[in-house]
Amino acid sequence: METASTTPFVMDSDPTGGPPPTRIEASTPFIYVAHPERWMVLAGKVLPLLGKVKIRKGQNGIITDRHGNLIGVRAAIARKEERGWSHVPLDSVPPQDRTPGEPVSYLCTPQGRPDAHVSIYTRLYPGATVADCDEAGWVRFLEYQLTQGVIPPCPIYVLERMAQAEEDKRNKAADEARSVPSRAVDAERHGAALAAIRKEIAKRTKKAKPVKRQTAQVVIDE
Amino acid sequence: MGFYTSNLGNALASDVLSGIWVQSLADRNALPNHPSLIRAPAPVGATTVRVPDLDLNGAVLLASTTEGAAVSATTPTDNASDIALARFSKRYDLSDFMRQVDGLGISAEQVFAMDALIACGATLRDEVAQIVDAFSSTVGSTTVDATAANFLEAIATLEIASVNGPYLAMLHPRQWADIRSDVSTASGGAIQWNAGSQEVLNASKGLGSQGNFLGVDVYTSTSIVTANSLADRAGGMFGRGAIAYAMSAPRSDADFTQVVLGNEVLFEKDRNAPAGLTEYVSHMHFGVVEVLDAAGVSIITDA
Repeated sequence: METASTTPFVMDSDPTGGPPPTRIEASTPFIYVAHPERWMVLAGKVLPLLGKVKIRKGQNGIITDRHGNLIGVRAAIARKEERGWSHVPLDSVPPQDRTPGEPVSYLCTPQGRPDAHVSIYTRLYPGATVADCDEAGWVRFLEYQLTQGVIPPCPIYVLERMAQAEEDKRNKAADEARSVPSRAVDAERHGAALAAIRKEIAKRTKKAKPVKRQTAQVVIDE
Repeated sequence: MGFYTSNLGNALASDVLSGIWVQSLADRNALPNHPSLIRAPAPVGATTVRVPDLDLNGAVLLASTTEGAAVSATTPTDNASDIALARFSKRYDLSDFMRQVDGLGISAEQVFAMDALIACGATLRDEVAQIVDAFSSTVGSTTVDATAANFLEAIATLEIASVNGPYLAMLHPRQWADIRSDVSTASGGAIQWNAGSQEVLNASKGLGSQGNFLGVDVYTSTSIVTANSLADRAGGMFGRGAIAYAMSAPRSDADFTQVVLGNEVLFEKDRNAPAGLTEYVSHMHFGVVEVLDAAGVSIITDA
């Protein structure tokens, strides 16, 4: 005897017929923030090393009201700004990275994962816990913040400090490369970073104005 | 989350009557009760806990003053960070049928009580891990593996900033594995026979506390967040004053089947008779805040 089923047969792992969603960790939304002393060298350029203000209950004074609305997000950002950080507005996205017909934002949620919030420059893979960075896009995004004045340029003293650190690392790696050949790669990388920082310093020094000062007198003895 | 026979068929089939079950893989560890973490008391009646930072106890030096001249009054700086207490809860529904057929003992009340306490510690760890990426001082290079040199640089950064020890490093297992690899294979022979580095190799088993390396207590967690659009992991090292948290002490009511676990979690049992469900609910109220930015350094290295 045959029995007819009204329920169509569906594969457990693929109920929608589409690719399975990414399996990256869940994460709350966030706002990017920049600090005048947090910089890095990426793709041969000196770029801001952004931090995040997580929009997350229980963090930095953020709570929810009884309807689930977040309270204290602006205050959390303001506290960060009080400490010298500047925030990157959500809609500060290069024109070529905006999705037509959607609100402009550097945050997105992957399909099927409303609990995960990542930047639009994160590359995700169906069914995988692996994710990586679209480096070219990320560099474009960071440069956009600098050209638009959202993030002030790296202070000269920070560049000088970075150059000094990279020079030390390059020299140390070059020394060690004599006995450990793989360190030659590190020496080369630090050398390239140093060149990028020096290029930035040269560019900036050209435009720099001297600091106003006045001579100080010291009375040695009456 | 439902403990129904339909959800837990694997735990019910006759061939698992051996009575054992294996924990799924997850970071279940709680943070150590480390001196670098400040637990602020949350008095009854407080929804927000204030942690002031003051420049007392020798932070301001005596000023050289002329004989006979009145010294001007010193005004201490008076900053503060506020911890807002937020609610965190979890509920498990257990069906009557599940209780009847449970051969593993996973439907016992004690199992849910233990889960509530472990989850409380893990939730706090997760929240603290969300803070260590955003100190203004950083060490490491984007997309480059963490090294012992990064670790040393982080120590130096804290020492130069006058941060009191002992320090705690919270790192992603990827970062710790890279440091371990650097210590054991790429240090050019300089430190591979050092007792400290041997300690690293011995201690590196699983998540949680990894022991003490170069005078810093090391803790690993997969809760450590990413940076640079997932290219990097952003752990951190900090001393006392960087991070504070507060947990309010819940009150239980004698009229209901509820109990306070560890003075932190309100654990209760509720009955949904029409649905044939026993519900185990846990609640806690806590918050975490960054207090002194300079008391921590973010370690940002390849993911």
